[in-house]
Amino acid sequence: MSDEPLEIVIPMDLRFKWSAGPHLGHFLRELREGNIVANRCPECGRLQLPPTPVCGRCHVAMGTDWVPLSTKGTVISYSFVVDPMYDAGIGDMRPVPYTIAAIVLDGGPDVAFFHRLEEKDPEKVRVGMRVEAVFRPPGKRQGLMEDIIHFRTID
Amino acid sequence: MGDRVAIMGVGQTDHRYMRPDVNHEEMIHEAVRLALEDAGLTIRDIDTVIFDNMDLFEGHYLADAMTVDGAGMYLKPGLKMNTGGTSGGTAVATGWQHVASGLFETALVVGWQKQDASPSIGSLVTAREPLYDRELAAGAVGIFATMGLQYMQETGCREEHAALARVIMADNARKNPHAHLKLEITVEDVLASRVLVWPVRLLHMSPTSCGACALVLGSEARARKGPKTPVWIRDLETAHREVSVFRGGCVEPRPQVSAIEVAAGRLYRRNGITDPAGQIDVWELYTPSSWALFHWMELFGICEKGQAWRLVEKEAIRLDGPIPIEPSGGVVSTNPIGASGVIRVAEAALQIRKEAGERQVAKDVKTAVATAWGAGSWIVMFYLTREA
Repeated sequence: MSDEPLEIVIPMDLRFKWSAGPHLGHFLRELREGNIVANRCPECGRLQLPPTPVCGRCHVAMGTDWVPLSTKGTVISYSFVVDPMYDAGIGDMRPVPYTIAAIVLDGGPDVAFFHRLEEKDPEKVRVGMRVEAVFRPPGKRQGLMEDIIHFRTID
Repeated sequence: MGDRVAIMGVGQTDHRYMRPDVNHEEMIHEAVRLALEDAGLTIRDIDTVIFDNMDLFEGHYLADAMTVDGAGMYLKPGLKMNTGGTSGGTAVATGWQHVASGLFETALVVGWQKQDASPSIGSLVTAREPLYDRELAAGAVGIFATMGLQYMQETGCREEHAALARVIMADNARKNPHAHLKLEITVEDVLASRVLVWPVRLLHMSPTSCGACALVLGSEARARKGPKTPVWIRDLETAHREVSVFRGGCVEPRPQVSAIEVAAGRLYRRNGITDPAGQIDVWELYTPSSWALFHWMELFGICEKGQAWRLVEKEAIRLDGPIPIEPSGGVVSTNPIGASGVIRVAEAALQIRKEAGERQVAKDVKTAVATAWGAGSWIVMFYLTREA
């Protein structure tokens, strides 16, 4: 009996298919048109982004009180991803560096929108900076979060 | 509140980066055997087995089915818990409920992870809602990065303070023979380690570890007959925050709702705890990054909001300090994830028994809080006492 540890390597390649459902589905269809929409809780009036079927705080159906938000907003927090990280969408490492930010869109004070910033210079990113979504050209959008390339700095 | 439940036995492996010398089941069995020996029992004395790990982190599902013999589960009643980072805490909570209900006199709780089997981050990044926020997910590191950044923006905390917290945990880990990382590091070393997601550096993050931890829980009648001082699970509490998707998580616009504050508030009220820092002698918090520590200290009511970094600066959280936190070295030193929540309870129990060896805190430990934290800002917390 050998004392040498025996280790076996097994690579896997898998495919997944996701159902967006009516609420997130509506959000993604609107995104494909260049719009960002939230829905409003009929009980507490809080917006949900992404839109959800139920308000987690009131435990009531959210319904379809759709509220269009501006594609402009204000950064409330950010970070710089420097170390490569697995991208679950492609099963491989994501190119780095990139900047992520939590953005409060104009008209959506209850919710933060998470996306990338075009600005990669740590000296130039700050809380309170104004940014605007940059969409892919209309024919290139697929109803995915990647329909927004990033948020660019404005004024 | 149910019948009294005590921790009768504690067993854990020496946690390591790799365990190529054993398979999953053999590794689990090491902890199970130690816990049974500690409780003075054999597997025949165990009425039910509660088993936990994070499925897929070894690259396969049904981990329980493949390890049933080593865990002592064969033909026993039992359940498997799989709740992400909280899995170990959920397993202990479930074991407690089984015994507290009076339905079982003894329960064996077994938590484990063997992260040398697969790149577990590959599983972790799938823990994001796939259509809305997976594109931006940066694993757990991104969560602690936004936490750290927000904390620096809102308080006087600087990177040096998070680094000092990490150094203190490393100093504790070197006194713990079971710890995975026993690093000899300075604040400068932490600040020189490479950035993962700013301001989180490599040394701020918990490692990927292999290890298992088991507890034997017993009814009062059984525990009083055991060879070891019973450690009572006086109370426990859980809360799960509403985040089916990552709505900005810890940086969502105010007011934020924290599951930790909700759970801690309920547990403290039931137990007459009005001054957590004064009434709890030792804390084993589930702190996966040194950047999370400040938030945890404040949300658990150890200090006022915005003040945790000052306590760290004064080194009040050291083994000989007034508020010892993570005497084991914590999750940043050792993270076999499914075991980590069980280890927190085990380490707190050892502190109450005064069997923590070199990592025993200076205070006379009569009370302890152990927690598990994980995805969706889910918290499980335990209040342990020496007196029944």
